[in-house]
Amino acid sequence: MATGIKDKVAVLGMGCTKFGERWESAAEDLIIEAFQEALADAGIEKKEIQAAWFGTHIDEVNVGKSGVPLATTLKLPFIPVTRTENYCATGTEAFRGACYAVAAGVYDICLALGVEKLKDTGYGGLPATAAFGQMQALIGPNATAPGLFAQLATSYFAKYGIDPAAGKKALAHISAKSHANGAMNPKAHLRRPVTEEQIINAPMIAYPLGLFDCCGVSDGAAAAIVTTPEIARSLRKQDPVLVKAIAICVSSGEESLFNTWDGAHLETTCRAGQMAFQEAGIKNPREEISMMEVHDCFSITELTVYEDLQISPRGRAIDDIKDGFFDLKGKIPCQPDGGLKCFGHPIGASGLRMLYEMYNQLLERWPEERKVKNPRMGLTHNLGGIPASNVCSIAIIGR
Amino acid sequence: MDKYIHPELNKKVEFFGGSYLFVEEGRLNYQGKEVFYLLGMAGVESSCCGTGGCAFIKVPGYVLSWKKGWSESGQSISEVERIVAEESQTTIRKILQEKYPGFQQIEFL
Amino acid sequence: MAGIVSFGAYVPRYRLKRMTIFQAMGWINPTTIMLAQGEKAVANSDEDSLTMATAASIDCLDGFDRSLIDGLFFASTTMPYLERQNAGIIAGALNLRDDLRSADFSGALKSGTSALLSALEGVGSKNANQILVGVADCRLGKMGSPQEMIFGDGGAAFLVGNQEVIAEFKGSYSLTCDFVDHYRGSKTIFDRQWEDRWIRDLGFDEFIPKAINGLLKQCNLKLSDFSRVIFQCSYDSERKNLVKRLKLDPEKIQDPMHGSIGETGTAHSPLMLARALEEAKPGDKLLVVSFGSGCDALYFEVTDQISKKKKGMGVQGHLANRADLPSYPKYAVFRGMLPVDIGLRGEADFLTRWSLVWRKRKAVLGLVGSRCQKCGTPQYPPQRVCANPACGAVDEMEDYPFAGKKGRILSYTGDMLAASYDPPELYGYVEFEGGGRFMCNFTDCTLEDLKVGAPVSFSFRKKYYDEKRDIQGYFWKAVPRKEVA
Repeated sequence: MATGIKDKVAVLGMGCTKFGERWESAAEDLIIEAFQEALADAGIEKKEIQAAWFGTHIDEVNVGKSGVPLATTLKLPFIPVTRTENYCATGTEAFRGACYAVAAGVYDICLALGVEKLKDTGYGGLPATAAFGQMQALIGPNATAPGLFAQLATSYFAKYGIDPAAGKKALAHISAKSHANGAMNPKAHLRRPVTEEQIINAPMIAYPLGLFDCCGVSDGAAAAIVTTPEIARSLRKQDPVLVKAIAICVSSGEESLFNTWDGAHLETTCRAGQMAFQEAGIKNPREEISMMEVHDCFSITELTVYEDLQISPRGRAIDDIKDGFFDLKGKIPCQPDGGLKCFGHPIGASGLRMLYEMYNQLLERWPEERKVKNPRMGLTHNLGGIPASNVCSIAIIGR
Repeated sequence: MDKYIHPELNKKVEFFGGSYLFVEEGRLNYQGKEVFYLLGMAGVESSCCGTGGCAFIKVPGYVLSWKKGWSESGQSISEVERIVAEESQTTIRKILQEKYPGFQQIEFL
Repeated sequence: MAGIVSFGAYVPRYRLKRMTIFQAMGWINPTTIMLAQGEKAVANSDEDSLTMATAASIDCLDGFDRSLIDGLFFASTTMPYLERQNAGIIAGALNLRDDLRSADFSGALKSGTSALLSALEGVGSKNANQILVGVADCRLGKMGSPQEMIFGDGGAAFLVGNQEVIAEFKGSYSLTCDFVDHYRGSKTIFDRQWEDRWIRDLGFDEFIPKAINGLLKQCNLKLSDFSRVIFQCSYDSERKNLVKRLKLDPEKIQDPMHGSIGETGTAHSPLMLARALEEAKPGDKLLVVSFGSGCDALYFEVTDQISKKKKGMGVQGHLANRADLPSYPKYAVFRGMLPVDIGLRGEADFLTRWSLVWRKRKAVLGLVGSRCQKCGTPQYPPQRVCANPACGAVDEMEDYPFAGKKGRILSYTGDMLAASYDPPELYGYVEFEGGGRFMCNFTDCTLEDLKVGAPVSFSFRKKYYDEKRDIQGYFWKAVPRKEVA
């Protein structure tokens, strides 16, 4: 009888590069940077890593395909390396592969590393690729990521009868609080606080999302080394950070083809949340989650996720936002590191960068002004694809 | 009635790869009321905004009282009445489009 | 008795005032001020002759069983493909049968009436029961030219058959003359013409009367027998001259709509005929004459079936659906006359995979999806596994056409980042009446026209153009429509 992942895997070490326009760095440089930090944090030698999972999404402007680039860059000694790709859940999928291998008892120590080098595209925004397949390229509108997610906002505001100005203000608060957090983070790309007024005054990118409602494109890498709790404790980690849940949920086709999806929430997030909470033994997420890093590629995504994760009641996220519930000093700090808003979204790396933040918060390593009070359970959330057809990943780690 | 904090003109607000700023404040008459608007421009170095930048207009609303207070950071505050009627928005949009060709984005705050 | 069973028309929504053209280009050719009255209809950036003929055909076929159509003729001098049958693409868009006669008629402005004649002869000889004729043109004059002032865009369509005809075909007379008043070689885009006076005096003045008299003699009729005389002539002064010469009753002359649409080339006499049919009474005799490399003169007699014809959008409805195109440079960019910087994002290469296009032709061209026969759920794109989570049946689908359905907006956005010739790029999810949904572009509207819940209908449009390989791709877009009580 399967029993889930709870408490079967410990995070031994993590690393994360500075995210941003890393013009001087190739993907290989970012890989080495993240890996070295993770290795030092884990306190082991490279040769002790028995298997690796390598997450990259866009190989057209990145390292290429397969697990080979990770191995040849780090000179991993002929170990198994698996490339994972699942849109924006790519990084978490790499983590999941490494964790399952350890939990299954097949390996003792595994590496998960995600990297994305996006700034060789030549223009801002994600490069236009046939990421959704050939048929979609033939019949799908000439869309961009901001436009695809902006639709969540028009549907959400209409469904709950929200005055667009009030909606805009709530979205502005989400971004402002993330920017305030990112300003304190030396690894973030964007480190300038922005006021709600500056956000509301900014020009539109895709109605109703403005400049500050959209995360930028950047380069970055992050890595995790995982092992069993027993091995972690034997390596002087007395109270290791343990994996409580990893859930992946993929759209069934129902949202995009059937008649029930309302366009105003993310069905996969709801279900992944339910799976993850059950796996971690969490009955009341609003009370039991200490902090989270959710997929704020667009401020509206973060807003709907508050509700999809059963933290805010349906249609009422704006009230919690106004109350500062998700601010750094609030009940459930969201994006304490600044989120995708300040880090940008190197797709393969983001899931692991989120875990890096939760991990370090749980170990209470940050300076006082960045710390989350009483961290017990940290949740990460990724969403890749389009609101109507996507993959969602949720990981929960805790002590 | 809403309070609108006047942004400092010609002061860049930075975002990834570029910045935006407001260059001009304007007021026009419409049906006996004063419509307050701001002309803004975004300059983008890394071409994330379509063709490298944009010209936009924000319309906070009808002026109820002009620059009667100050914000904490020393910016003027005006009281405005948001313009929500569709017909008014359509007509005012047309007036602004004719007055400022090239300023494609017109948003009623 | 062969004749017209139904008719339709299409006039694009954008109207360009001729004074706007003059203000932009009059400096290089001040004589064009003489032509700068009224406005002309111009195709949107996502329209061309093929899409306009399709739109006119849809207008024509409203209420008709398309499975009865045996043939499709498409006439235009501005077809997107020199080789890849354009009529075949329209047949796909209209979801007509595979066992179809089809042909492209081109090469002259009289091709429209020639196609109509061939269709009438086809059903008349009982070789076919119903033939659809679609006509459209999207011609281009050089910037600052008189042609630019005169040309307009539009289309018309006629369903031709033997049963329940609303206008019986009574006879025709044709002339073929290599009179080169204007021309385009196979490698050029812009129309070139000879001297106006020569065209009027030796062209219209000679051939229109010759064609009319030829028909009158053949059918043993007098000109005064006709209720409406419809003839193509791009010169309004010459039109007046001909009316006098032929001693025509000015009341009977069909308005060429130059001030509201412009000269639509191949589509012009068909468009005028469609307009005449919108007002025609049983017993009316209609005379239609086209002009271009000769003339076709056709004679129709309206029957009392005309009162049964369902009122479509037609010329009148489309004329009323107008939006100003206030910018000449925008028009010039839409027509590819000005090299515009659409950004690096717009340079992304898209390879058209013909094997995929063939496999998915019904879904892409015809907007045909599938409906599960087990649970009745319509779904687009067509599926083999039912998307209803309570069903999941495999391979129990039937074809389900979506193009004629109405829809409602579920979500939308105006995207400033996407590469677009008319930013912001408008798109969103649309739910079909009866079930099914998909994400598509919105067209013929502004961002302000879009609201969640607003009604839309669907229009066949240009989807992409691969400049490197000269491939024009098509698909459907949603058009917001006024809520009808």
